[in-house]
Amino acid sequence: MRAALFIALALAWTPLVAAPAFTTAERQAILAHGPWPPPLEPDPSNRVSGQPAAIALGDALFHDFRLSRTGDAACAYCHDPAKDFAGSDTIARVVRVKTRTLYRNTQSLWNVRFNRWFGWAGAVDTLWGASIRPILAHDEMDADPERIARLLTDDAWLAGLYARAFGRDPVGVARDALVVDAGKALAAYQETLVSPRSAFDAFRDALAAGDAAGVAAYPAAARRGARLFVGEGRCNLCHAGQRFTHGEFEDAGVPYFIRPGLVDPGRHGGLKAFKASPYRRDGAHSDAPDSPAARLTANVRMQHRDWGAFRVPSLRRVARTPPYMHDGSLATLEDVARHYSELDEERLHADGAAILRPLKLTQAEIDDLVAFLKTL
Amino acid sequence: MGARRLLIGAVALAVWPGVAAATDCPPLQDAAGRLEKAGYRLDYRFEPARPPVGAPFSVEVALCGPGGPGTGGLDVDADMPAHRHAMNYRPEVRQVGPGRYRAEGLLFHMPGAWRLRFAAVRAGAPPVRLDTTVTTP
Repeated sequence: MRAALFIALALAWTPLVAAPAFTTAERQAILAHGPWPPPLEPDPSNRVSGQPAAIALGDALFHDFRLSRTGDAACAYCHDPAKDFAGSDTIARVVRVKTRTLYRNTQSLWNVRFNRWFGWAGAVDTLWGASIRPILAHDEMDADPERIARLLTDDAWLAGLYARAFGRDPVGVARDALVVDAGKALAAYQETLVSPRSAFDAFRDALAAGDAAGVAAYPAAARRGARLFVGEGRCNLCHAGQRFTHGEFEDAGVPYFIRPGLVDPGRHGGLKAFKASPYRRDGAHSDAPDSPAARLTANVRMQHRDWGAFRVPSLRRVARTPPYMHDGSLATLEDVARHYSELDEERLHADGAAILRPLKLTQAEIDDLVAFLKTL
Repeated sequence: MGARRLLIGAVALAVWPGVAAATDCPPLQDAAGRLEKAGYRLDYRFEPARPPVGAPFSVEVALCGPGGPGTGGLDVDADMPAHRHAMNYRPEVRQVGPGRYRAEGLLFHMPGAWRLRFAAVRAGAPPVRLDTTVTTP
């Protein structure tokens, strides 16, 4: 009798100490972050998207320091493959005759192929255009079109890779066309950077399949963090979908003042640059200027709230790519969680979207949220 | 007698606007919803059938006004009132037939309740606005 009562009490108590089941809404919200990876579609604006020969050329260019004017920088210098294609400095530094400091955090290139906009401010809507920009930027690689063109024509190995990728000898190709082709090859290489499945993906798929053991194998702290992420935290409003980003631009309450007299206009400046960019999806260098994707970005709205807004980054592999925010001002994920917990609403754009509010998290909740982020 | 009844029936059909409108304004097949206001009837259908989050989609519309198929034009837009923001892109709307419109390039960039806004344009009069809420998961 006593044993039966003990067993009955134990059975009743067990669900209370195990992690509580997700509600229907929570489950649906978590499932929306997968499956991973998404289908890999070629970029119609880039005729060499997905082609092995172009990928090989792009890989070579990505690591080639000769693309920079002083020979001391390459794409891989800031987007270090050993550091998840991001940088570890608070801000990127390009060492030249005198040190130039850039004011935006070096973003990881994982999953960049899925972006609609590129860069923190979305100054261009093509990956190949975004690849050309830093090469020509005075405060980055500071090359000029002639330098890029000469590299492709004068280096026999690169000329051979180019010929295989584009089906023609680079000698005799117009200089501007060679610059665009270099960008398209770089883009083809970067499109291969798709992050592997994570512990979250295994958990998400187990949840979808009703695999209780698979769900239970996911750490309890991360499960609690997932509940916070899609529930009270509302993180999934902006960090939405399979990549944990909706790919658009938001004001995250991080000041856009760089120093007295210098501000970062964010998306507002990006849109101005986009309007003038020759590397747009609907532009003369695009291989599909009339595509639905081209018409979509061509119809982007300029809105007052764009000032000081920055592109919402993906959270996949986020634990591997500190620091955080557009200016690299937050060193750890704990700092990020605390930022949103103690958010200063006065810093938010007056005309901005009414999404963020201070979350007022306990330390235990911060720990759970970070535990969840570490599994992405 | 039979001819007289036929004549009466024909006259009734000619003067009964509801019937005239119905024959001139067929409903949209597989419509996701119907909105009615100020004598206007608007059927809409999404492509894909459920608007995705973070990806562009289109809306097919059948618009009927008091006098028949809508001919004055149609505006389409959307916003999230709770978040105080609109879509980041302007849809392209074109007429594809009498009272038939197609809006392309809508994009709901975050989950939640979106207010889908239609405006039937009328010459010399304010547009008739028809709104509905679309909630994305």
